[in-house]
Amino acid sequence: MIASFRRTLLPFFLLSLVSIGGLFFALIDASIRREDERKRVDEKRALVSLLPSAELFFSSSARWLRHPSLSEPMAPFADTPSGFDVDPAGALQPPLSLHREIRPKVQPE
Amino acid sequence: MKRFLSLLAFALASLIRRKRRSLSLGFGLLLIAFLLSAALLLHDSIRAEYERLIPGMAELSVHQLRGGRPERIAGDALKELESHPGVRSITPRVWGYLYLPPLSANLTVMAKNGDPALPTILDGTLPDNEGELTIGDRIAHSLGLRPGDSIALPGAAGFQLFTVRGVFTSDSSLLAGDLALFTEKDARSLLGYDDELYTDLAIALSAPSEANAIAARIEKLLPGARIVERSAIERAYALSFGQRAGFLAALLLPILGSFLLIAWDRLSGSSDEERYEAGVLLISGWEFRDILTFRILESSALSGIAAALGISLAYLYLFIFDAPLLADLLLGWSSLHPTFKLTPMLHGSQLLMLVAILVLPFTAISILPAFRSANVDADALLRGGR
Repeated sequence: MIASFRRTLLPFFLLSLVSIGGLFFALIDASIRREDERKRVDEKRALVSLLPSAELFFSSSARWLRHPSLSEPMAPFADTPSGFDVDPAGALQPPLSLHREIRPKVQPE
Repeated sequence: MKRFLSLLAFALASLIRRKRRSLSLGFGLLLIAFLLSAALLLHDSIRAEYERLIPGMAELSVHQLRGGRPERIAGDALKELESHPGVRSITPRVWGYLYLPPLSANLTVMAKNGDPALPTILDGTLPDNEGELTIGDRIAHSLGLRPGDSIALPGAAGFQLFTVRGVFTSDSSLLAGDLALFTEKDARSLLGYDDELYTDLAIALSAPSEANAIAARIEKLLPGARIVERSAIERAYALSFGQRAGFLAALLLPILGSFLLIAWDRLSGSSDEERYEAGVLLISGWEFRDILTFRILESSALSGIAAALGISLAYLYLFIFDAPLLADLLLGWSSLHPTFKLTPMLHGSQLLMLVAILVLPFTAISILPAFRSANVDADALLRGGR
């Protein structure tokens, strides 16, 4: 009985332990990191006030990817007016609140 | 309970007996679990990052436009608004970009307009005097600079020498990695702003809900101005990253679909063997219900372990190893790239949802083949009619 348990169930038992342990590790590590971040968040917001905007820094090699909302009003379309937008501030479906806001503006006079 | 445990033990033993099939299906599911959860976790972290930071920003930024192009603005252009009860402060700001040839990258040059205490995210201090600057961790890293070092920057009137007073730590890299903070006079001379004009005006309000009303007032005072509301930036970000992560997830969903199709094929393709096994079990006194439970346990154990391993690996990949490749795919490559330190937003509910997305369809598609295999004529089987 014990031999057959070792042969068949032990690997599963170990695998389940590793996978469930992995999930627990992820949950605990995530909550520790969130707590750390919570301590920094006020300082980070103060830092935002020293910056042009709260836009994140992902790339500085293309001018329209840094503070795109403030730098250039037509930035996404400046280079290829009819081209595919490389960093679109749009989605296939706008959020419902935006829908409601846009509708009156696009109605013909 | 004992019956259930026996069924579970039998299901696990059956998975080991068909080692090759279990391994290939398990590995496929693990890979999909890894990719899908990595994309979702990354998106959640980035969204949470800017949602946390947006409240630090002034509610309105006002820029002057001329012919559709940005122009600089007079510092007192909105003097009349200063006494408005809804306006807390109007801060004229000087900022711009400076191309640094050795890095092939643009720095964000900004004049200091406040003196907040930043003990944990700043190593050193903010610039107090002319000839001093504070820089982001990526610039410091790329140029090998530390507080106290000197650097010559190519300004509008030739090279200027600066002393590094402070370096922002990598915890703030996603915000300030490319930032170079100066006194206003230095920022002006670097950017070539030799007049009294400013890049824009940042307006902080006492109540964010008044942003629309104040924006309307500004529009009347400065008809050519462009007013950027904080909420618009927040929305633009939500849409932009929602779309990128959505595209990634949309690419992954067909993969999940085709995997399920293959799994279905494999599970129903071996039905001969399974029918024989089911026949033997029926003859030895098992009920139809037991066989169905056994099959469900078999597939949910396989998919559960694979999904849990895939999600755990995705977490390690994103937050311990800082997501090589995927970060480039989602964020793009650059010569000056932020230290990729995100805060995981993983919660129990999200974890349950991910496991459910992966385990439930896999278990569901194993039920029908199980039905078919359990529905055998035990008598015919006894006579050798497999």
